Amino acid sequence: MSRLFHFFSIYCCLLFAVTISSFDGLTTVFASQQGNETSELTALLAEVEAVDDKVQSFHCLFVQEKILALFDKPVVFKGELTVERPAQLRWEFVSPIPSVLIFNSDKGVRCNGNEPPMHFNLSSDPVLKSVAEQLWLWLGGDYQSLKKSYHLKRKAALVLAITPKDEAIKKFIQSITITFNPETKQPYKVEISEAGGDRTRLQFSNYSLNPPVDEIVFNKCDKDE
Amino acid sequence: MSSKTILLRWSFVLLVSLLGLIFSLHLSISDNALDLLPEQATNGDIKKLGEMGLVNRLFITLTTKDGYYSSLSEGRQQLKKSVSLLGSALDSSPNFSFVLSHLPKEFQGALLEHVSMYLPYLLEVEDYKKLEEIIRPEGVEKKLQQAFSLLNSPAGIALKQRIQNDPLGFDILGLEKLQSLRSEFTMAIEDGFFVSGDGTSCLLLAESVLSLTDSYQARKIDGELRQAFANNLPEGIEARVIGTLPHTLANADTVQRDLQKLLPAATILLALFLGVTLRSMKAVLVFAVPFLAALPAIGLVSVIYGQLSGVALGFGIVLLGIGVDFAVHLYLSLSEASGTLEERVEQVSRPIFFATLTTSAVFLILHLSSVPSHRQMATLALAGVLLAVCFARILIPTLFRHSKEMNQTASASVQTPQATKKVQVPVIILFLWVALLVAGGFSWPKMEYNGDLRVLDVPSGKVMEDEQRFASTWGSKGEQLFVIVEGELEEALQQNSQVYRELVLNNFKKFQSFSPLLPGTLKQRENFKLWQKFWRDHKFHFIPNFKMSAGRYGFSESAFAPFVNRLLETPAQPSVQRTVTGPLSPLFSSMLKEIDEDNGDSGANTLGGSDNFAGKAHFLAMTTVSAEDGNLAGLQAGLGKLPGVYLIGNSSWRAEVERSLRHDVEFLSALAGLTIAILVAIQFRKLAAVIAVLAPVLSALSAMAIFCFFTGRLLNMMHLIMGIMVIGLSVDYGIFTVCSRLDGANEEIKTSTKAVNICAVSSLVGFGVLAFAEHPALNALGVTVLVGIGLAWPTAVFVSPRLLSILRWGRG
Repeated sequence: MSRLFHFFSIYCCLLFAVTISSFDGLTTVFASQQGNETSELTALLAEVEAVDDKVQSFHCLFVQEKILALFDKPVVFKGELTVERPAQLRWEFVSPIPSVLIFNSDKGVRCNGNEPPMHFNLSSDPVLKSVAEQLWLWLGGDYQSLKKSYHLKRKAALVLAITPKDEAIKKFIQSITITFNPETKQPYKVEISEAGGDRTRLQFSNYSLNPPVDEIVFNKCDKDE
Repeated sequence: MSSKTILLRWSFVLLVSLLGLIFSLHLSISDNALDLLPEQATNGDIKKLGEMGLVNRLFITLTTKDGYYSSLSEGRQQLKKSVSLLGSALDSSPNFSFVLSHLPKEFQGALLEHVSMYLPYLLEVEDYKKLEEIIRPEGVEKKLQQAFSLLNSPAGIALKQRIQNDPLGFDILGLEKLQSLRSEFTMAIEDGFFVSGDGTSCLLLAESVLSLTDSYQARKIDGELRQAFANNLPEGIEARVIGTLPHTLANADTVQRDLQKLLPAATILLALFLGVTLRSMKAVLVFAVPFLAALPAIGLVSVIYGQLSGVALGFGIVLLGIGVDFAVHLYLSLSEASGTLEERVEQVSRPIFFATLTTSAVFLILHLSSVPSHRQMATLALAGVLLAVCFARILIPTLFRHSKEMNQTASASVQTPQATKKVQVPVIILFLWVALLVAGGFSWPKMEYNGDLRVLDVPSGKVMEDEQRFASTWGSKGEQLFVIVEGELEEALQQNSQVYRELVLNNFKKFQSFSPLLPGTLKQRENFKLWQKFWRDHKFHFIPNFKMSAGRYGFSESAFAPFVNRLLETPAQPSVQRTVTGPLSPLFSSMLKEIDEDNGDSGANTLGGSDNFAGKAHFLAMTTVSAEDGNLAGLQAGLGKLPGVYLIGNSSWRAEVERSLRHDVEFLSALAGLTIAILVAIQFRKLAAVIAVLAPVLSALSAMAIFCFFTGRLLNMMHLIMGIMVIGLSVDYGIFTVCSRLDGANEEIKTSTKAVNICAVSSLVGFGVLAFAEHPALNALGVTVLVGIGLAWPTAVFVSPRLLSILRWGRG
């Protein structure tokens, strides 16, 4: 009886030891993986931000493809983007329907075709305020500060995946994937996945970094006025 | 008089005073400026405004100090943070029932949801004309193009669901109803905060549970506000408060300053005067005896009324001062005239009895006033004067325990009544008196009354500066009308919808009503029938056309299924409870109040604190209207047909107060005059004596009328109160003068004249000094006494004896 008890004790000790060592091994593997991911993410962000720090403004062309359940087929819009960090942004569609959206600090203006411009204040327009926040998210260049409200993940060498922490934002946006241009380190492709499965793809090209930007670009829809 | 008798007498009086003190301890004093207004005005309109929280509402403006913050946006951020902190601090205080510092985060979404969900119940006849425009093929095309663009814009993600539900922007018609809630203040809503045009100020609203017209409670709220400012505002933010509170405090401070300055002056002057004229320490007792009557009088009044207005208490004690005159007459008669104690007491008792009777009659008549505090004051003064006369009669003879203390040197031989002799008063004085009466008669009809409480208001420089700053920051609202409806919730909402209809019918454009966003149930059903009829008539053309147009923009067949279903289905009716207590509550809280009937007149509750929505609780719903807009007569006529509706305007309210006060002044003065004339006629039974007795009263009234005529002063409630006191004092001067002439000897005439002189001068010094007060209420009081007694006194001394002499002589 006492021998049986002795074997049982040894068995339990062994089992315990094995369990602990397996756990320990798993944790080590997990931690090392996590550590790698974190360091890779940090490296990616550092790499992008190092360039971004030198980019005060930029201008580029873009193509937007919307794949929405509302539309029978994808809808493609083409346009131009001008950004003057930290607070001025002009988003302009040139075809098929021209329209302009300008954010200038906490104010802005929206134009649709030939309709008169509509001025707005972000403090009193929560929809446009959230639009501005989302745009600055991947155009602002300050990716480190995103960590507060978003989960960041490096998906590939120059691909950053962003998922919101806030439940209110999750209702609209599932994730944003940003692919950076290897040379300019500016967003090259952006894919926004919405909660219901709709997607928006943006492809940027013809980057011009730190170009001289006329103030009128961020004040009036018609730049030639 | 034996020592035992003296002891007994003093013990009795002190015992009664002690009892009065004990009863007085239970007295509850209400220090409320509204106590000065007629009952009709305070019970009706002001009560309703009070229940709506308007009387106790505070507007707090927080402003960034010039140059303190490096940028406007930094200042604005601090401003919003401060408003949040201050709002939370006030909200957590039990002394504030409603605090609106900013709209909740979910407000805008909730508003859109409300409008979108209940649109069929909100749209009215005129909205369908606009709807018809929108659903025309070209209108649909334009809206779909906008929807297409918007969906493809960066805002598309956030707006997708909304566009699916409402691609043509029907909800905008519902949101336009918010216009009816727009106040006349110029402000922007930023992150839910109410921000001024220049972005340097934020507005916060708070309603105090405590009465802000009551200086004690106002001081308590002021202390709490100061503490909240100190705890929650950074150095770069300053706060300014406007509303009832700063006015109440400014007035209380002014009165306090006046009294601190003038009371010592009056006391020193009185002491000097009495010291010189009476030259005896007993005089102090003579003046103190009637005031022993104050305690039992207050005790009696507290038993009758329970709560006494501070105004009534203050002025009642002042009126009670008439009792001093009787004590002075008794004292002088006993100390300076000849005869035994009993003889002297008996001789002076007759005029004292007559004077007491007329004074009491005046105070009885004051009980007919429409101002509750006047009635309380009258009871206090009546009880006080009667007790003062009794106490004087009991105590003053005890000051002359040995007959040697009385004037034994007076000649007993002079017993001839002097009235039979011709009094040597220059005729010119009589002419002057007649001229005074003629001028008074001419001025009397021209006297005007001002019932506006503002005439008794002395806002300090700081209060005026704050109000100017408020007007320049937020805009001036101009003259406003308040339409308040009362009833159970459904009834109140329905009546409120009727009020809205009347405003539209009478072309009012500037008004604030929540009815378009929350109509009564009947109105909702009426609106829904319009919606059903509209879509019955249009759906067969509209829906296929709409789908075809949508297809042209690449929208899928099912893209707008929620929108199409919305047109055909019957949505649930708006839930009133959910609407008024949910995130939209800030829209309604200041305009819809539940009345807690258990709490009496101050029992208005903010919404959401009660489970009575389905029950029989009473509610008040308010609409504010710019008085310079629309057809007011038409509105008044229309609202007149609706039960439970009150139209309250500053000007109409002032007119009502003025009407009431005018009635009081004319009716009470006439009645007091008639009663005094009848009593004097019964007492003296001879025309000459009656005219001579009433001469000082006529002089006082004429003097007051002439003074108002020449200075352009308008009468207010203070003049009315003190006018009655002046009448009471003047007739007493007449009575004492005439009695001494009719019955007395030379000593008695001399004594009586001296007593009248002392009484008049002490009244002039005591009250007249208030004519130098800064506060208009005290000033009115002082001026009335100064002018009234100032003329009644020489009339009693010079004119009354002369009149008595001429008339009696004339009759042979």
